[in-house]
Amino acid sequence: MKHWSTQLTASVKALSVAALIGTSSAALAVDGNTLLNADKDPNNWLTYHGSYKSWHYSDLGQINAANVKNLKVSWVHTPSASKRGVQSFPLAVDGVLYYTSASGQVWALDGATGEVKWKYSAKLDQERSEGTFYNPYNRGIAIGYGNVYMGTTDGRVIALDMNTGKVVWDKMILTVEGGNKGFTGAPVLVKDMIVIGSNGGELSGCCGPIFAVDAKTGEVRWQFDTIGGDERSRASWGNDSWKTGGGGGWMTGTYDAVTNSIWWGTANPAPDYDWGGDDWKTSGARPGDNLYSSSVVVLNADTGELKSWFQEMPHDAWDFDSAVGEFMSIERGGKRYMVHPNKGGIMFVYNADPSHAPLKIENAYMTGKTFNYIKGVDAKTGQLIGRRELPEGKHTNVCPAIDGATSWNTGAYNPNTGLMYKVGQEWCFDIEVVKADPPPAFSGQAYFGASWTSTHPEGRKAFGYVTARDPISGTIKWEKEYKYPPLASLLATKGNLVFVPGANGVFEALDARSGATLWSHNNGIGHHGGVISYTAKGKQYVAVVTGWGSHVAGNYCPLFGEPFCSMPTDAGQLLVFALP
Amino acid sequence: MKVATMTMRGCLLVLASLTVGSAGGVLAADDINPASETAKPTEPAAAPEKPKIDIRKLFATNCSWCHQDYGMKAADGPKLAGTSMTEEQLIEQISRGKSPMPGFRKTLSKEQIEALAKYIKGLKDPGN
Ligand code: HEC
Repeated sequence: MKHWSTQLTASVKALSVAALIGTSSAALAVDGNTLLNADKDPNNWLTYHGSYKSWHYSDLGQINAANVKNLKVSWVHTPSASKRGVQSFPLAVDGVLYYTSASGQVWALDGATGEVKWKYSAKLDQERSEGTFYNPYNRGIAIGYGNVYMGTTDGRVIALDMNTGKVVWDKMILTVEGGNKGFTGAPVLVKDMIVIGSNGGELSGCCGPIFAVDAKTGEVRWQFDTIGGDERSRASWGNDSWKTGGGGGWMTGTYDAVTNSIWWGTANPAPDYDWGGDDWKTSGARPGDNLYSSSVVVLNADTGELKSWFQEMPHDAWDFDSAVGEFMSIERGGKRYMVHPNKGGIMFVYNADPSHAPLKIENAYMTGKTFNYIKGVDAKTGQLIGRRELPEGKHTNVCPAIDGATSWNTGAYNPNTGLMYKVGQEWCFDIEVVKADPPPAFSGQAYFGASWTSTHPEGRKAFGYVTARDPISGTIKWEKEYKYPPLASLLATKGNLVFVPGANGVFEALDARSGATLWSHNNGIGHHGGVISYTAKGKQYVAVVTGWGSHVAGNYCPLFGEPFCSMPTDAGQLLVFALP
Repeated sequence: MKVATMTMRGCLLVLASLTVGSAGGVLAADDINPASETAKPTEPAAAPEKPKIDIRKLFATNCSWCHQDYGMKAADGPKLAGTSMTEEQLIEQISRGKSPMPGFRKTLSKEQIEALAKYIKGLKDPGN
């Protein structure tokens, strides 16, 4: 299995044959090669971002702008109590749907009927899991080599037989000595490895690792430390502050086969917030740039060695991770781009060639509107312009709030319209920064010092929107405003639809060309997870997860009142829609 | 260490030895109930003078991630001002946590937890 790229054409052929057969009974053997062409296989949803291109696009058109008004609930699955809702992305292989609910529960369901094929419930070290702020999130799985792979909040990766749900291997990957961190993000299958990043931006301790694990055995192939792993990083944290520095890569990155590279976004530095203020280059809690926190890192997929990077938030003073969102791979005019959102409401358009180090910026534009933490971003260099530091003391009307101008869920791209669809959110906060004492090095204890109150932007209520724009230039084609900022991922389909799972429970289909609302259905509780499309027995389905409750969702009651104050935070479902 | 099942006074000293005290408010020797002297295993490093617990800092460095405005506003965690919990129940909740709230018995001292419980009990409900 050495010549991955040369197998590409062969497997494209194999896939087009499979596509002709449609949903045949011959089981699809998913491996690293299958995933290279996941974007050409609309019947299945094989990986978190849909394919390595991270378009969140389905090339199925049975459900389309003309007939979506007839879309109905086909079946529903209710998992056991899911604290903080269901936040994961379902995957679909050969008409079987796999998804996770909170606390590491995995479900395999018949994609046409919802009939339960198997269920797996991870036995977690509750004490360790509950020690983090991110308990009991689980944001999804990877599939390959006959297995379903899941990370756990207590630092393990588990492989389950995809036919039976039986444990194939179960390995402690992130030991507690490395800090009380774990995994909440979905792993991604790359070649014959599972790649997964740890959480813990605001947990003291290094080194916020990203792991590649052998898909067949669970052995760690390589580990990349997002902070403190090399001299360049250590030199960018004065007073050895990298030892309590946070970092991590809590969301799912992607793989670029052309350059054999893993692209991954990293978490914020600890502490949140740096009381040092203006003199952050030389003093404060973590003097310096704090590499590679709030950065994009590009790694050699075989070795984990750093090829290139770009720090989106040098010395992140606001908790604006780069871990959020997707790496959209776009080719235009013979040039290859990686488009990546940052939580601070900036879209970074990178040249996909990692031989530029740091990465070459092709464009950078603000997606946020009411921001005042910076004055803007330099489109040519990607550098922040006019920073507003948050030194010890009180600061009012800081925008956006810690929750960001974009959250961790993904946008979508439709290659036919050439438009990228992305959620934005506008809110602010008043914050008092307090000088936190550093916890013991490597302890994994929370390391932050601030108290805040969510507020509305000056002159208007907090709000959200879905924007359709050219991903490279940022030019807006249309925008639809939402009273309550959506928090879930979006789905674009060949049927000229954009599916928007709303915060208030309303699930909508918009016209991809105009933003007009073509269909909506109230799912009865907010959404902040994934949405996909797949086929079972030749029929197209759209699956979305529901459920509410999280650090960001917690602001909706104080900002908007009902329906959020009475919305349960321990429930959620999987709803599947189809045409009659 | 099940804090709640032990009488508060009696377990002070046992808990004292577990003090990590990373968030300020180091345990002071004269906080300790002399009646429990015999139950004391090893004395933590004696503090030369009694430092006052800085409650705002303690709250801002441990709780405010989820409890906004020093406990006055609801967010990810509920508003704490006006809670119907007794001081003992508050100590129990802070010590043991309640998913998704982490427990703090390993990272905060008994005194710090008690101080937080007192502080919360003393908060006036703004009624929002
Ligand atoms: C990671 C988020 C988080 C952190 C950090 C956190 N809490 Fe909580 N807290 C919660 C949540 C969520 C609840 C509601 C739990 C439930 O009942 O389901 C809660 C509930 C409580 C309650 C019960 C209130 C009532 O009236 O029911 C108290 C008291 C409390 N927290 C105090 C604290 C204190 C003190 C700290 C800091 C030492 C703290 N919390 C840190 C999330 C958090």
